[in-house]
Amino acid sequence: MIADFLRPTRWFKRPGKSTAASERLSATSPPTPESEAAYKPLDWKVVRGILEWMRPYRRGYVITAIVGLLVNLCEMITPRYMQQLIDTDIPGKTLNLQVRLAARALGFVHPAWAKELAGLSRTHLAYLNIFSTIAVWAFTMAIGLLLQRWGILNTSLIGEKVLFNLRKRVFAHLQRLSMNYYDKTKFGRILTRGTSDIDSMFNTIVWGVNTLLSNVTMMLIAAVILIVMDWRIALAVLWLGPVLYLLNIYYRRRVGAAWRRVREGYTQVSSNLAENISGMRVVAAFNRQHQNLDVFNSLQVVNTSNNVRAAVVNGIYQPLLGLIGFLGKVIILVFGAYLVFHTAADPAARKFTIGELVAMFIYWDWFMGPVINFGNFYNDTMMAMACAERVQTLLAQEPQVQDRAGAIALPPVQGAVCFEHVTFGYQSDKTVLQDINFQVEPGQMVALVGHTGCGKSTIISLICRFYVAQQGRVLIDGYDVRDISGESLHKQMGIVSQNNYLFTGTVMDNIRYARPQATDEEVYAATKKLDCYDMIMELKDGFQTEVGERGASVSLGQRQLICFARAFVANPRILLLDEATSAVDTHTELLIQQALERLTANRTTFVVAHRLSTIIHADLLLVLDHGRVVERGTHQALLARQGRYADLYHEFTRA
Amino acid sequence: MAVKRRRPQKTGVADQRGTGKQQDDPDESRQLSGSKPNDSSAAPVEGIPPEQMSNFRLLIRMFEFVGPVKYLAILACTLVALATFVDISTVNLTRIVINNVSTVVGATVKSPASAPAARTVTVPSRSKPAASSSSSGESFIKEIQTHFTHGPLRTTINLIGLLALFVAASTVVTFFRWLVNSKLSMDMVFSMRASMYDQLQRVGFAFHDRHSSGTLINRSLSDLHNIRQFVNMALVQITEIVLYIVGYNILLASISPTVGLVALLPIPFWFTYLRYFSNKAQPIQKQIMASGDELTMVLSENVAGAQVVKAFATEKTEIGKYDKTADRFFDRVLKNVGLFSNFVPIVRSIATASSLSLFLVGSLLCVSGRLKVGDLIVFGVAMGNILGRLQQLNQISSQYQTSIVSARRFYEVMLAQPSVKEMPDAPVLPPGSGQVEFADVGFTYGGAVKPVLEHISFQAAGGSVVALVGPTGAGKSTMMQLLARFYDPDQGVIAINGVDIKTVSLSSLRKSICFVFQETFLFSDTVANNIRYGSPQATDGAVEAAARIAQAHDFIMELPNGYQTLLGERGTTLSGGQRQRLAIARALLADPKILVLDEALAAIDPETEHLIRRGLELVLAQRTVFVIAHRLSTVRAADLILVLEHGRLTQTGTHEQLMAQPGHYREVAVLQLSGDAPSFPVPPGEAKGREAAL
Repeated sequence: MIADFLRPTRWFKRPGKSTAASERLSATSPPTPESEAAYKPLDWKVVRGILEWMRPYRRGYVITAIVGLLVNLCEMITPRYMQQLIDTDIPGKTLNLQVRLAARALGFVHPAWAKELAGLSRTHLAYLNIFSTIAVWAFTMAIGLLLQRWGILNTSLIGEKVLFNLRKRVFAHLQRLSMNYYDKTKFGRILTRGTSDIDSMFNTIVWGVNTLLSNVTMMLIAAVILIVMDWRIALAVLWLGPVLYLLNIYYRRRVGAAWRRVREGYTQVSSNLAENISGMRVVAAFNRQHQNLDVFNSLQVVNTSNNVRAAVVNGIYQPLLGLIGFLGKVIILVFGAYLVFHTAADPAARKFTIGELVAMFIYWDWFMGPVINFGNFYNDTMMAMACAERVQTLLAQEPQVQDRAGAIALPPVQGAVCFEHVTFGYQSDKTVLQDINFQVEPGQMVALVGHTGCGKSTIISLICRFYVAQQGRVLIDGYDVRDISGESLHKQMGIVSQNNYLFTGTVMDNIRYARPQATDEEVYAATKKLDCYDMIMELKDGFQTEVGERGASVSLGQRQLICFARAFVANPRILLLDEATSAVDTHTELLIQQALERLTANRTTFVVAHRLSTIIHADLLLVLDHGRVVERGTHQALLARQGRYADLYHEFTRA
Repeated sequence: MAVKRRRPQKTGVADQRGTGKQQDDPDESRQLSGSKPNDSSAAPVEGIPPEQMSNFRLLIRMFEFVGPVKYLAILACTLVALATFVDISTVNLTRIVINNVSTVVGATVKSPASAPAARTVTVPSRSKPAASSSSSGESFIKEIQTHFTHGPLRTTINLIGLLALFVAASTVVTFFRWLVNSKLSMDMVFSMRASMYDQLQRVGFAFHDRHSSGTLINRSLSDLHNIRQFVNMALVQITEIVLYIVGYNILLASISPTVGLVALLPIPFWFTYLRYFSNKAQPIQKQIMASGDELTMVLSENVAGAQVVKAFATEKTEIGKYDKTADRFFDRVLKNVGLFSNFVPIVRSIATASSLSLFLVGSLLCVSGRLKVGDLIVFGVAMGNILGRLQQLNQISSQYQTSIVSARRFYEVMLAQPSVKEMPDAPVLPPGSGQVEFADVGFTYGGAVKPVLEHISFQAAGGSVVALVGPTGAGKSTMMQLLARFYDPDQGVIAINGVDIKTVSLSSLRKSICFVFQETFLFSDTVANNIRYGSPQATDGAVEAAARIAQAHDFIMELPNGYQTLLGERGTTLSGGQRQRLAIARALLADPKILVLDEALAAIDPETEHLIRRGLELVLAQRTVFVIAHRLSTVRAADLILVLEHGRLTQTGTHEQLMAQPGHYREVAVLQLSGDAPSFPVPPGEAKGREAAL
C-alpha cells in the first residue's frame, strides 16, 4: 500500500530502438509481419540454455539476489512501524521496543537518565515513541535504499554483461555460418535474432532471478508474518491466495487467447498496409484504390472487434482480481475489528490492537501483490522463452561448411582449378550440378554459359567453398578445398557479383575492404588502372565520399566499379565474376569491360554473364544445361559446332 | 464515419504509382533525395508545411482525431472521474472504518485522560468478561451475535457494507472503463489509419519517390500508434491524474489542513528532481539509442553483405568491428545504469521522506487528539498516489516529445498535396486507335535543378511499336510515367487519340494504359487473383487465356494448387522470370489500349522470351506498345525507335535509319554485337515486325 508503488523493475527501463533506427531498418527491409511465435510455455531445455548463459556470473546473481532479499526485508518491517505509530496513543503499552532498548542501553551508561525516562508523562512518552519510530523507520529505509542502489547497479551490470556476451556470440556465430543459412533465411529474421530477440530477454535475464526470488520471499514472509500476528485472521484470508492464483491463471489463458486474436487481426491490417504501400505502382496502374480501401477497412473492423473483445475479457477479470484482493481486506477489517473489540473488552486476553489490524491490512497487500504481479513476470518469461529458443536454435546451427580438423592453410597458389565428378544440390534430393568435370590452367578465363537456373552461379559458389559438393572434388592447385582453411582460400580469391554490396563508410574504406593495410597510393593506382579514378574524383567528396545504406549516394554503375576496384586491390589469384555487369547499362558495361581486361590479366577468372558479348574472348566456355556441361570449347569452336551454344548465341544476337 | 467523408472523388484517386526505389535510375533518385522542403507537391493545404509547424500547432492538430469520437471521449473521461471518485471514497471509507473502531475502543477503554499513568488500565465490564475468556463454543457464537446486532461492531459492519458497495461499484465502473477506452482508442485509430491509407493512395508518385516504402509503412503503423497513444493519454490519463492529485489533496486537507499543507511540500522538489533527471538522462538515452542503431547497422550490413564478407575472408575483422561497437554500446549502457541506480533510491527517498513527515505530523496530531489513527493510513496511500501520478505526468511529457516527432511526420504525409490533379468533371478518354503525341514536353522532378526531360516531341501512330533506348538515367521510364500522368510535365502537351491527357479523367486514362515493370510486384494472394488484379470480374477462362499467352500457364499448373496457389511470404516463392510472366498476364487481362513494357522481359531467358513474343503478337495487334529495353536486340524491329540521352531525344527512326547515321544507337549496337559483327552480320529485315520488337 505504501511501498508497492515503487518496484525497481517498473522504474528501470532501458531506451529501446530510436524511431529513426527502426525507420531506417524498415527502409532496408519493409516490415513484413513475421509469423513467429511471440510466446512459448516454460521449457526446461530452453531454461537450461538461459542458465548456461548466466552461469559465468552465477556468484553475482546469488549476491544480488541476497541483497534483493535484504531490501525486501527492510521494506517489510515498515508496516510494524506503522503499527507502533498507531498504537502509540493506546494505553497499556508504554515505550516501544526501540525506546526500551535505548533506555536499557542508556541505563548502563547513566542510570539517572533511565529513571527520568520512566517518569515521563504519557504525552511525552507518546512523543518519544513517535519520534523514535519515525527515526528508526527512516533509518531502515535508508539502509534499504542504499542496498537497493547497490542491487540495481550490480544486477543491471551482470544482466547487461550476459546480454552483451550473447550479442557478440550471436554475431560471431553468424559469421561462422555458411551461405546456405543466409540463402534460405530471410534478412529480417536473421536481424531479429541479433536484435529484438535479445532485447526481449532483458527483463528475464537482468531481473528474472531477482523478481522471482523477491516475489516468492515477499509472499512467504508476508504469509508468515500474518500467521504470527494472528493465525485466526491469517487462516481466514490466506486461502484467497490460491484462489486468486488460479483465477489469475485462468484469466491469463482467456486474455492470452484474446490477444492472440488481436495480434492476428493486427498482422492482417499491417501486412495489407505494407503490401499496398510497397505495391503502390501496381495499385495505381490498375485503378484499385477504392476496392483496396474497402478491403483495408473491413480488416480494420475485424481488428476493432477483436480489440474490444479483449477489452471485455480484461474488463471482467481485472476488477474481479481486484475484488478478491479486496475481499481479503474486508475479512481482515471485520474479523480484526471484532478481535479489537473483543480483546479490548477482556482484560485477561492479549490485546489485539488497531495497529495490528492496520499492519495486517498492509501485509495482506504484500501477500497479494506478487500474485497479481505474477502475470507480468509470466508474460515476460513466456516472451523470453520464445526468443531464447530462437536464439538457441541459431546458436545450435552447425555451419554447413567448416574447416576440417587439421585443415592446412593454402599456400600462395598459381590458380589452377579443377572439378572432378562434382555433383551438388542445395537440397539433397534435388541436384543442381551433375557430374561436372573440367580443368582450368592458371591465368585462364572461363565463361559459364546457360539459361537461368542451369547452375552457373552454383559452380562459382563451389569454387568459393560457400557450399561443398556432395560428390566429387573441387581442387585448387591440386588442393582439395575441403582440406584447407576457408580463410586462406578466400584470401586468394576475389568475387564481384550482381549483389554489389558496399559497406557504410567512405569509398576508400570500401575499396580496401579486403586489404585494410593497402595504402592510399595503392588504391589510387588500382582505380587508375581500372579507369575509375576520375569517376570517383567526380563524386561529392572524391574518395572520402560516404556510401551509405547499400551505397545509396552512388549510382549502380559506380557501385559496380567500386566493387571491381575492391576485388582488384585484394589482388586475388582467382577472380570470380558472377553476373557482375548485368545490372548496368551498356555504356557503363563498356567501361567495365575495358577495365576487366586489366583486372583479369594473369589471373584465373570465372565469368558468368547473361550478355554473351562479355565472354566471347574467354579461353574456355562451359555451356551448362540442367546442371550438366553439355558443350565446352572456345567461342569460335562452339559456334562452328552449331550446337547448344550456337543456338544460345543466335537467340542472344537476334532476340 | 470520418473515413467515408475523407474518401476522395472516384477519379481523384488514381495517381499513385510511386516509383518507389527508382532502381534503374539512380541519377534521378539522387536528384530527388535533395528535394525536401520547397517541393511544390508537398505543399500543405494550410500554407504552413508540417516541418515548420510549431509544436503547439501540431499538438492542437493532433486532437482533430478526437472530433469524430468526441462523445466516446466524454464518456471515457466521465467514467474516469467516476472511477477516481469511487477509488478515493474507498480509501476514505477504510479510514472511517478504522476511525470508528478506534473511537469505539477508545470509548470502551477507560478514558486515557483519566488514567494517571499509561501503565494501569482498567476496562469497564461492558461485555461479560467471564464469557469471553471461557471459550465455550455456545457463548462465543452468542457473543458474536450480540456484537453484530447491537454491539459496537454494528456501525463498523454497516460501514464495511457501504465499503463493499463502493467496491462493487468500482468493479462495474472499471469494466465499462476498459470497454469504452478500448472502443475510443480503436475508433480513433480506425479513422486515422483509413485516412492515412487513403491519402497514401492519392498523394501521387512524387511523394512516394521521396519516401521509401519502409518509411511510409513505419509511419502508418508506429507514428500513428504514438499519436493515438498520446491523444488517448492526454485525454483520459491527464484527467485521471489531475483528479487523483486534487482528490487526494482535498481528502488530506479535509482530514487536517496542516497535513494537507505538508503533503504539498514535496511536490516542487519532486518535480524539480524529475525534470533534472530527464534532462540528464535524455542525452545518455540518445547516445544509447545511437549506439544501438550502430550495432544493429553493423549486424544488418553483415547479414546483407554476408557473401562479400565470406568471399574476402573478413569474418574476423567484422567480429572485431562488432565487438568494438558493442563495447561502446555497453559503456553507454553502464552510464545509464549508474544514472538509474541513483534515480530509483533518490525518488524513493523523496517519497519516503514525504510519507514519513506526514506520519510524523499526523501522529503528533493524534496524540493531541486532533486526528484519529485511521487518518494515518490515508497518508501513505495519498502520498504514494500524488507522487506516483506526478511521475506519470512526467512520463506523459516525454511521450509528448515522441508524439510531436510522430505528428510532424504524420502530417507531412497527410498534408502533402496530390502532385497530379484532375480537372473537375473531367470526361473519360474517348476511344481511339491509341495514337500518342508528345509536343515539346519538359519535366523536372520536384526540387531538382536539372530537368529530366527537355523538349520531347514525337508522334506514335495507333497500333505501332515504339522502342525507347538510351543510357541509364536518360529519362525513359519518366517519359512513360508522364504518359499515364503519374507526374505532370512542366511544359508541353501530351495527347492520346488527339486529346490532351490533362483534360480527361485519371481513371479512364490509366485504364487505357497498362505497365509491366521490370520489378514485378505481386500481392500475397492466389495466382488467379494476382492475374485478375486489374479486372476483378474476369472469368477463370479469361485468366487462363492470359496466362497461356504470357507462357505462365505451364508453370502455374505445376504449382501445388495451380491457379489457387498462394503467393508471398506465406506462400510459394516464384522466380524472377515467373513473376514477370504473371505480370504480363495481369497486364494482358486488363485489356489496355496502350501497353508499356518497362524492361519487362529482362529476367526471362531468350527462349521463353521468344515464345512470349509470339503469343503477344496475336493479342497486341490493335494496341500501341512502348518498349524500354537495354538489349538492343529487343528493340531492333520497332516501328519507331526513340533514342534518349540526358533527357533529350537525340535520334528517332527505324533501326535501319539509325544504323545509317552516326550516334549513340549505332555505337551501342556495334558494341553489343561486337565479336559477332564479322561472322554474324546483323540479320536482315526479316526479323522486323511486332514480334521481334518485343
